[in-house]
Amino acid sequence: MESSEREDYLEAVLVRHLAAQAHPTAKDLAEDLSVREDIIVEGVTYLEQQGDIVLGENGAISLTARGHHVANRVLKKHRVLQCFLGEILGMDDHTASDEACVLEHTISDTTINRIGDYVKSAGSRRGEYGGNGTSQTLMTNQGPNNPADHLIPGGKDAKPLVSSPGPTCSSLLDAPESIPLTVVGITGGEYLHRLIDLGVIPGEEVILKRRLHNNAVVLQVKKCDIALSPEIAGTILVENS
Amino acid sequence: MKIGLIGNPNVGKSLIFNQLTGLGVEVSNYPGTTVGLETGNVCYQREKFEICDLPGVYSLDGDSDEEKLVNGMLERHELDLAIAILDAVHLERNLYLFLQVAEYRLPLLVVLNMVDEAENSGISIDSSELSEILGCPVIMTAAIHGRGTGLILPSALSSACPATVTVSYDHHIEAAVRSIMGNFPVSRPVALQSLEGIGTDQEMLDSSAAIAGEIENRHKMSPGQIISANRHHFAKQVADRVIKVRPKKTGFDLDRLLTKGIPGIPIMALILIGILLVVFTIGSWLEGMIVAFFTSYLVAPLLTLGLPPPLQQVSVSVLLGLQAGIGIAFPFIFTFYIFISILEDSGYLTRAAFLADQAMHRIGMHGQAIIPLILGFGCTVPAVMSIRLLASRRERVIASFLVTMIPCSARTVIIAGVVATFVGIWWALSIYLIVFILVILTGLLLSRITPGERFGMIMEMAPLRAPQATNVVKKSWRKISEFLTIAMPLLIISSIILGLLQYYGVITAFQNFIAPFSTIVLGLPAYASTALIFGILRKEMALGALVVLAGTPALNTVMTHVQLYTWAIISVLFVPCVSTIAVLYRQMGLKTVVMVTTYTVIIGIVIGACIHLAFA
Repeated sequence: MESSEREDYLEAVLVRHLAAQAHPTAKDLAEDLSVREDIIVEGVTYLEQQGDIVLGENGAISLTARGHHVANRVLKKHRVLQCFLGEILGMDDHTASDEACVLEHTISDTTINRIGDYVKSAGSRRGEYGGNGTSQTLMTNQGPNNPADHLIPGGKDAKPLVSSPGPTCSSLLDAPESIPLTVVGITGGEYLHRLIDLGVIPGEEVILKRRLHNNAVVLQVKKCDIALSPEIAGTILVENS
Repeated sequence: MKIGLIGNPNVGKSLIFNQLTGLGVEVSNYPGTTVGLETGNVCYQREKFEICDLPGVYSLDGDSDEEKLVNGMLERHELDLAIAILDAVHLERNLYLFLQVAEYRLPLLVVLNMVDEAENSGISIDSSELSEILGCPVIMTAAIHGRGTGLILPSALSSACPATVTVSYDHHIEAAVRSIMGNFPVSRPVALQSLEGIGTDQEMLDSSAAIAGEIENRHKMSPGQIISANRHHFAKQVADRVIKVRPKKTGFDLDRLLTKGIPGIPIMALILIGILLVVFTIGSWLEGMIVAFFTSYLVAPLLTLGLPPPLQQVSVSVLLGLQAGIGIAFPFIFTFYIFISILEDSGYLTRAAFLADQAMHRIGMHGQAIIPLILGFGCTVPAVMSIRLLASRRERVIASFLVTMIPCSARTVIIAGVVATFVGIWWALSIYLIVFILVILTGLLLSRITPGERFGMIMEMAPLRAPQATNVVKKSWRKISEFLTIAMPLLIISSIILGLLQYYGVITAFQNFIAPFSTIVLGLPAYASTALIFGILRKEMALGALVVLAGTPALNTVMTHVQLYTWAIISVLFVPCVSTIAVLYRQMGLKTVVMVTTYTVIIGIVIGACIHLAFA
C-alpha cells in the first residue's frame, strides 16, 4: 500500500468520524473514496496489521493514536491547501478540495513542476518588456516577476538559477572596484540568509569598495560597509549597472 | 513593566541602556558586543520599570542564538513595550528589522540614534513624516553626546503605540498567510515565519511547508526570500520618502589607508606592536612598585608579628594571592585595556579583522577571530571571554586553544625577566617566534580535525569615530572588575593551597619525585620544575618562585643559558593559569578545558625536552 493511499484511508476515516460522530465501515469508505469495497477491505485489513486502525463490531473502523496522528496531519494540510488554492487560483471549493486531495501527498510533483514552469516562462516573457519592480510606489508590493526572481534558494543542492546573465556579469571576485554594480544572483550557501538580511538581494545596487590581494572584499550595501570572506564574495554575482 | 531595546548590531543600544539605567554595560564600536540579555531596573515617577538590552540582530528569522532570543521574546509577548533603536545614518537597512518587529503589534517607540553623524554626512530625516508612515512616535537622539536620551523614557511611557505600518507582501504570500491564520490560531508574524519553516507547532509547519513548496515552484524562490525582498523594497521606499541628502564634499577617507593591503597591514602591525611595547613598559614599572609595596609594607611587617607557623603561612599566602591579582590586573591588564578600548571604540578592530581574514582562514577561523587573539596579548582571561563573539562552536574551540597559547603580558614578564636579561634580547624574541610558529601549526592542525561547520566572514564594518575618554575608562574599569571578581578568589584560594602544600613538605616531596624527570628530560634542576608549578597561579609568579628557590636573583650564576631558555619557554607554553582555566570552563565547558590544558602541558614539555636534547 502506498503511503498516499494510507493517508487517504486514514483521512477519510477521520472526516467521517468528525462529521457523523460515528465510526465508519468499509462500505462508507468505499463510497467516500470511490473505490471498490473489496479493495477497501483489503486495505483496511492491512492498516489494522500496521496498527493504524482497530476494527470493532460490525466492521466499525476506529483510529489508533498513531493512525489519528497521521490522519490529523493530512487533514490539516488538506484544509490549508484547499483554502490557499481557492484564494490564489480562484478555484471553487469543490475543485480546490479535489486538487488539494492530490497535492497533499507527494505524487503530484510533475503537475506542480508543470505549473511552476508555466508560471516561470510567463514571468520571463513579461520581464522582457522591462517591467521590473524597482520603481514602484510606496505601499505596492513586488510582484512575482520582481528582480529577486533570480535569487537562488539555499541548501546543498541549490543550483544556480541566474536567468540569462548579461555579458558583463561576474562574481565579486572579478568585478571592478568603486563603480555601481547590480546584484544579479547569489549561488547559495549557509550564509544566504544573513546576506539577504543585510540587503544583498538581486536588483540591489552595491559598490565594491575594496578587494584585497587575498580576495576578501568590502561591499557597500544600503550605505553600510560589509566585509566578506573570499568564498562568500565568490558566490555573489553582479553586473555593471 | 518590561521594556526592551531592539535594534541592529552597533546602533548604540547598550549606550542608551547605560544612560537609561545608570548601569555599566559594555559599549563598543564593533557589532555583537552584547551577546546575552542585560537587564536593569529604573524608577520613573515612582514606578519601577525593567529595561532589557537585547542583543543586536539584523532580522528575526535567522537561526543564530541572538535572533532566536529576540524572536522568542516577541513571540511570547514578554515585552510590554519596545524601544526600536535605528541608526539614522543607515536608516534603510535598519527599517528592515523594524518592519518585522512592527508586525508583532506591541507598543513601540522609534529612537533615531546618531543623528549627529547623519547630519555630518549630509543626511537629514523628516521625523514627523517617518512617524506618520510608521504609525508610532519617533524621537531623534545622539546618545554619544547624551542628546535627546532624556526624552526616551517619558515619550515611551506617554505615547508609545503599536505601529500601523504594514508591509504588503506578494499576493501569494498574503494568501498563504490568510490560509494559515484561518486554520491555526496564530498571529500574522508567526504565520509568516511558519512559511519560512520557523516555528514549534509541527502540524502548522507541515501545512505551511506544503504551501511553501507551491510558492517556491511558482516563483523559483523560497517564501523566506520573497518576504525579505518585499521588506527590503518597502524599507527602501520609506527611506526614500523621509531622507533628504545634501550633496557633501567628500573629505579624506581614512579607510583608503586602513583597509588596503599596503599600507593597511603595516599600520596594523605598527599599532599592535606599539601597544604591546607601551603596555609592557608602563606595566613593568607599575608592577615593580606594587610588588615592592606589598613586600615592604605588608609581607615584611607580617613576618615580624611572629604568628604561629601555619597561620603565618596562610596569611602570607593570602597576601601573595592578592599581590598576584593586583600586580597583574592594574599594571598590565588595565593599561592594555585602555588601549584596546580606544581601538574598539574607534571601529578599528573591524578593519583589522578584515585585513586578517585570509590569514585566519588558514588556521580554521575567520577574520573576527583576530579580536580574541589580540586581546590575548594583554591577558588571556578577557580574551577567552571575547571568544563568544565567534559564530560557530568550531571556531570557538580552535580559538580556545590558540588564545591560551598567545603570550599574555604575564608571560612577557618571564620572557623579559629571564631570557632578555640573562641570555639576550634576540633569544627572547626567538621565544615569541617559536610560540607563533606553534600557534600557527596548532591552528593548521585544529582546522583539519575540529568537527563543525565552516562559516565565512560576513561582518559589518563599524564606522570610524573618535573614542570618548569616559567610555574608554569605564569600559576598562569594567573589564578589570570582571577579572578581579573571577580571578581574585581563585588566586587567593590556590595561593593558600600552594602555601600549605609547601608548609607540610608536599612541595619538597614533589620536588624529589620530579627531580629525575626534571634533570634527565628537561635538563633543569628540580627546584626550577617546582617553580613552574607556581606559574599555574599566575604566570610570572613562576619567576618569583624561581628566584626564591634558587636562592639568588642572579639566575645566571646558578643555571646555564640553555637551562634558563628552556625554563622560560616551558613556563610560557605549559598550562594556562588558574583564572584562564576557570573562565574557559565557564565559557566552553569541561571537555575543552581538559583538552586545552592537556595539550599545553604536553607541548610545553615536548618543546622543553627538544631544546634540552638539541643543546645537550
